[in-house]
Amino acid sequence: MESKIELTCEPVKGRNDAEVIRFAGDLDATNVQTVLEKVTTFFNEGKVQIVADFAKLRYVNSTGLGILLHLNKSAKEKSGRFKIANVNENVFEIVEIIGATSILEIYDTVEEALASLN
Amino acid sequence: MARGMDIMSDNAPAAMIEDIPQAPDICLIRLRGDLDIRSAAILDSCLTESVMDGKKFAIVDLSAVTMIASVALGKLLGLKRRFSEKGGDLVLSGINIEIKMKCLLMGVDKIFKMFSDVHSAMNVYSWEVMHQAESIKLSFPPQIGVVPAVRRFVSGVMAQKGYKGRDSFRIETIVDELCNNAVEYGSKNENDNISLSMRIDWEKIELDAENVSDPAKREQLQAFMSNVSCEMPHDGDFRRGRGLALVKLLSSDFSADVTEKGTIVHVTKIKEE
Repeated sequence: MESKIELTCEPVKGRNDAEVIRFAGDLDATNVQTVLEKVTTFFNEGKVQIVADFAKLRYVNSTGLGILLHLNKSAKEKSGRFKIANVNENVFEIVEIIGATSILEIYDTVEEALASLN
Repeated sequence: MARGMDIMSDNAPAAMIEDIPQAPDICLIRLRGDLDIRSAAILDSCLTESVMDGKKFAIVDLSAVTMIASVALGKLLGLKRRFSEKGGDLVLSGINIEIKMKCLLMGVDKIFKMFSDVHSAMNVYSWEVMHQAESIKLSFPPQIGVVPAVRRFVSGVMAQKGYKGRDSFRIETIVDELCNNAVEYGSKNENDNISLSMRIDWEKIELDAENVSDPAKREQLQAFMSNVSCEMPHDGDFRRGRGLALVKLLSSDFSADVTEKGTIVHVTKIKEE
């Protein structure tokens, strides 16, 4: 059975190439494919500037982190960005231990992440 | 050793006091029938210092009590104070729903710890007072969909055992990664269950994750185990997990044994917070 994860999406005012995606739940091996497909759909629609709001994301494992890194890479290949905001301290520790803080773009707030978009 | 005191007209003991051989400083008091004003007064005079001598803790079992008057609760409160003065406690067990409602209305639940039965009360005593370790063993089929339930169960147990916040999260992560690895590299035969054994004490948890080998993946796993790393891939394929590397970095001690029969990974995680 998949871990429960919910993605709610918000367009960004004034931009048709950007979207805020709010994650809620746990991101692990059981639901990474679902997340990958949903975000890839946005990429394919031309929404390549993504801000992922992790305020309600409780847990990420190494498989989930791998998908986030993959999405980050995919966005850049399309001249976009995959930025992350509101990471809780437990999840941040995992990201840091894995050594992904130098690759992922992490911001304290969604507003800061949006302000940094091209 | 059980000692009965007859305070009912039908000669059935209304209070039985028992010693517990494996816990010599606990007194088990089993009460029965209606605890009204009369029986409460007799109860008080029977539970003398000579009876309580050498006992720091008491479990009062109310599973055979049909009614409890406020004065009886007051007597129990007085008894609790006597045990507290010795640095111990008096707890209640086996309360039926009617008595529980009365206790909640009177706010008694804020004063007494309550347990569903004597066994539950003894478990808490073993853990909180004697600091005895607990062992748990889980066995589950090699399916990725089962792993979230396993890690959430372990997380819940750790929280109950006083491993809060970051410690609990790290242990949940360790369990998740070990189980995912066992599913990915182990036998997919539904009869070849993965086994997770845990020994938890106040200072640390020791985990053993064991699974049957998938012969087709054994060499790959052996190579992987000898080169566990978080290094970012040069080919840019980030989807390969770094689970075992993460487990190594989060653990206080880590070892793995990959044989023809199966894989055993042993992890120790010392409590930090």
